[in-house]
Amino acid sequence: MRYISLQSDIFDIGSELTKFNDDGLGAISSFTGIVRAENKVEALMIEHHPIMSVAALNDLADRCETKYDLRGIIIIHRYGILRVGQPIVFVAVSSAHRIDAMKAIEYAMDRLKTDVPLWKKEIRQDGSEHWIEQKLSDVAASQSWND
Amino acid sequence: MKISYFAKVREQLGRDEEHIIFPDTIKTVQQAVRYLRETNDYDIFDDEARLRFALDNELARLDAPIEGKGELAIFPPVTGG
Repeated sequence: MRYISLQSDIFDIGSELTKFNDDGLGAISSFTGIVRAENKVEALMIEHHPIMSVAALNDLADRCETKYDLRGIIIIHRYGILRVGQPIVFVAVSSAHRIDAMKAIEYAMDRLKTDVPLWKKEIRQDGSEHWIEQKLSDVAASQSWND
Repeated sequence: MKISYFAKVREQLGRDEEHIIFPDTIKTVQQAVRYLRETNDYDIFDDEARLRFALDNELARLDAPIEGKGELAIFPPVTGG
């Protein structure tokens, strides 16, 4: 099972997890990224490359399935205006065993941060806007997988 | 050739795309970027290490040839997730 979505609509984590409808699958692991309340941020504006972003998420799912023993994978990333507290990204996998499930989530998020053409801009309470720069720590985490 | 811009690059240039007929001497992404910088005063192109590129929706390095390609996308390092 694979479900990949770039969307502006908010999503419900519980509803998304029901997509794993495989009885007796063993393990589900997931990560949800949420807009943080910091730097007097009111919202994030997320821009994406409309063609490359979907292709990059599918490529990421391919690599997760090659590297780990997975039964299913869900990757959802939002774009547009996202308020503080709203979900940005959701990655979930199902597997027969927990280690593959948990490792796959870590790998997927580290790679997503550097490989998928998405860009975030902070919209602060005073109306100012600031593009977020790529963090060296994110690059290092992605490169640490060495594959 | 269609040149498309995203995120901070798009915002600083004030345009999301333009069409450029490059001289025959322009063979690579790097040469195309330097041509755009010199002919249009695009200061944001000064630091090429802070830019990423794609040719026909595939990530491309600075030394990638542009011959036969229809679109060059120029954007900052990604910050999703």
